This record gives sequence, structure tokens and C-alpha cells, in this order.
Amino acid sequence: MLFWLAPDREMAGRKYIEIRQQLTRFFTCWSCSEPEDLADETIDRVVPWMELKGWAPSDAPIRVFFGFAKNVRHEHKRKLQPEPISSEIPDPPAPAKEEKEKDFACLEVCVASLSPTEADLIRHYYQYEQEEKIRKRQALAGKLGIGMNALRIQAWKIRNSLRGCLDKCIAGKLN
Amino acid sequence: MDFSFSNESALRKYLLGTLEPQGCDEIEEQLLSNEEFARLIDLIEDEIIEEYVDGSLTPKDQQAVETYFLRPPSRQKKLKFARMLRTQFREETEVESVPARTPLSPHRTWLYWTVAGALAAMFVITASLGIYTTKLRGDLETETARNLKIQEDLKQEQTRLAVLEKEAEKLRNQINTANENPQSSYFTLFPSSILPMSSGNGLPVFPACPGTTLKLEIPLGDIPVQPYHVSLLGPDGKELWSRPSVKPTHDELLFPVQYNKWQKGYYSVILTGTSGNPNSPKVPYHFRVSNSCHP
Repeated sequence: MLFWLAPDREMAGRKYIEIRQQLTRFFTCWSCSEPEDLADETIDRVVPWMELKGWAPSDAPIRVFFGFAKNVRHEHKRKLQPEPISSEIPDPPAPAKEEKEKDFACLEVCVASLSPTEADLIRHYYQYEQEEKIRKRQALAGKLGIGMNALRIQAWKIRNSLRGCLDKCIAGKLN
Repeated sequence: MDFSFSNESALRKYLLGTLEPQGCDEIEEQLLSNEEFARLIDLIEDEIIEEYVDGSLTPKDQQAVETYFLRPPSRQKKLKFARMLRTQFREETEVESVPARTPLSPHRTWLYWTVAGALAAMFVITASLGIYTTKLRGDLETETARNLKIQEDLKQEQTRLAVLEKEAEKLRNQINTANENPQSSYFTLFPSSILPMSSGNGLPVFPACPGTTLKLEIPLGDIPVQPYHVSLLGPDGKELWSRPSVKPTHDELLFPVQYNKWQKGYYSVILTGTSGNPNSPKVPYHFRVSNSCHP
């Protein structure tokens, strides 16, 4: 299959990973409960089709995959109809005390690994709720001399950095 | 990175599953062609979750989050992370403002109680040490004062003892002098407190030479100057002789003892006050009688 994505094997491998990620993102955007499984299923369907059609490598193979993904999604929806709809997403089962303590200890470690400016920003960003939150964030953006959208993007970047750090820390892979 | 925040509302509806199909096609087209757009979607996802955690979504959006948006595990993981962030940083604020009333998360509770426990223990130990030290210092001061007083008392006692010893020595000399010439002198007796009888050592010795009359000289010293009833008690404690009222001359009693059946042994002279006062002193004086004419 890789051959169909790119002539170079290494490049084809990277392309494959990229396509799988995009498909997973689509299935996530469609709120499917098993996005990765559905992405794999989509790829499994595209490969025999490509072989059958003698499809040549393309600059935008994702469009082909996307078409198949839509079908997979519809089938999946039909299969699951009516999907169980709860009035409220229950909280995930409470983690063990030790696990929770480890999570928060990791979060502290990760916050401490941020630069002082980043740590200060994320701390201020999350300290308040509701209307106070909006006012405080406007004040924070003013203090930093940036617009609200720029502040949102900075907070998003710091969040992603923290998330990555937290995953590593919890998995015990943090140096 | 340059995000375009145009039509953000449509994007939120798309993510919440409430956007019309034609709007969805447009967004999906952007998702296919624009990698930055995928990042914007990620950011909006975060913000929807944050609003859900804060409880600031409309009821309709909240329901959409619960029944549609949160199905993918990656979003549930984001929800957990958002709750952690909110808990962590809200606690920091609350701990700064009202630390005593803030319910802390387990790890912070543990830290809080550990630190509080250590501080309390340190406080108790310090206070106990302080009290103990103060008490020790007080005890030491009291003990020092008592020692000083005892030393002073001891010094006074030693001085008094020295005076008494000197007095006793003087009296002993007088006794010896007097008794060396019994014919011409009085036989002097002193209170038994000065000359103890128990051992017999130091007691005046009266040499009962034939034809000798015992003439006693008793300095009154510390006892009141008044007439006294005088009794002579023999070695067996029986009264051998008495005189009802011997009046003092100046501060001593001088009288002859009309008794001449002396035998070797210990005798006592008892002075009993005759003033009618029931508390009148009864003072014993002791001496020894020897058969020899020389003591």
C-alpha cells in the first residue's frame, strides 16, 4: 500500500502516518467513540480498491481516504443506531487515591518545567471562572500587550506542552 | 502559526454536532486542505471542554457535549486534563486567600497536613521545652537561694557552736578549779544540755570525802531568775533530799546540800520553778560522785 502513497518507502511511511492521523481527526470531529479503529478500517478498505483500480500515487490521497471515511462513518452510525445517549456523561471512574496523587504530582512537575512566563500565564488563565474569568483574561492580555485570540493561542500551546509532559510523566518516561 | 477565528460559531456547532450538513462540508473541506485549521479545531475543542467544566455552557450545548461531543476517548482525556488544571490552579488561588477553609485535593491535603502536623509538633515541642526550661530555671534559682540560706545558717551555727565550745571550755576550767579545792569552793553544776550525762564524760565529779558538805553553785543562765524547788536524786532516781524554795543570788543559786550518805554513782539535782506558773521550767543537773577524795 505504501507504494501507492509515495515512491520513496520512507516518505510513504510518513504519508501513511499523516493520513491515519487525519482520518482519526475526522472520526473524532464526528464524535465517533473509536476514531482510531475506524481510521484503520478506512485504510483497509482503500488499499484493495487502489489495487483494483490500479490507482497511481497522488498529491492528495487524503481526499480518496476521506470519501471512504464518510462511508465508514455512516455505516458505523447505522450500526450503532440508536446510540446510547445518556443525559449526562458520567465522570470517569474515580482513580485510585495513589493514581490521583501521582497525576497531580506530575502536573506540578510539568508546570514547574514551564518557563516562568508560561507558568504564570497558565496559572492566571485557569484561576478564575465565569464572568471573572473573562475579565481577568482580558486584563492578562492587556498586561502582556497581546490580543485575546493571541492569548488563547498561547494558552493552547502551553496546554499542549503540559499534556505531552503529563502523559510522559504518568507513563514514567519523564527525564 | 496563524489561526483564523472567522466563523468560530459554525465551528463550535460542527464540533457539537448541531451544524447543518452544508456547513459541515465547508468545514471538512478546510480540514482536508488546511493543517492550521486542524489546530484551530483542537483549540476550540479545549475551550468547549473548559466551558463544560466551568458549567458555563447553554443547556443545549451542555447536552450536546454530554451526548455527542465527549464520545471520543481523546476528548474524555482532555476533559480529565481540564479538570486537573482547574483544580490545580483554583486551589492555588484559594490556598493563597483562605487556606484554612479550602478543601484540598488529596495530594495537597497530604502536603498540607504533613506541613501543618510538622509545624504543630514543632510548636508543641518548643512550647514544652520553653516551659520545662523556665521551670528548671525557677527550680535552680529556688535551690540556689535555699543553698545560700543553708550556708548562712550553717555559718551562724558554726559561730554559735564555737561560742558554746569556748563557754563550755571556760566552764570546764571553772569546774576543775572549783573542784580541785572543794573545802573552800562551791561545787558548780551546769545544765545537762551543756554537759550531757549519757556518756558520763565531762560531768562534774564530786569527791565525797568524809565530813565534806556539798555546796552547790548553779548559774541560772538561760532559765528565769526566780525561787526554785531543789531535789537531789540518787543513782536509782529516788529523791534523797529536797529544799522547797531556794532563792537566787543575782543570777545563780547557791545552797548547801544537807546529805552525806554519798555513794559512788551518778546523781541529779532537779530545779523546779515555784512561781506558780504551770509552765515553770524543770531543769536537771547531773554530776558524778566518786569515793576518792580526788576526782
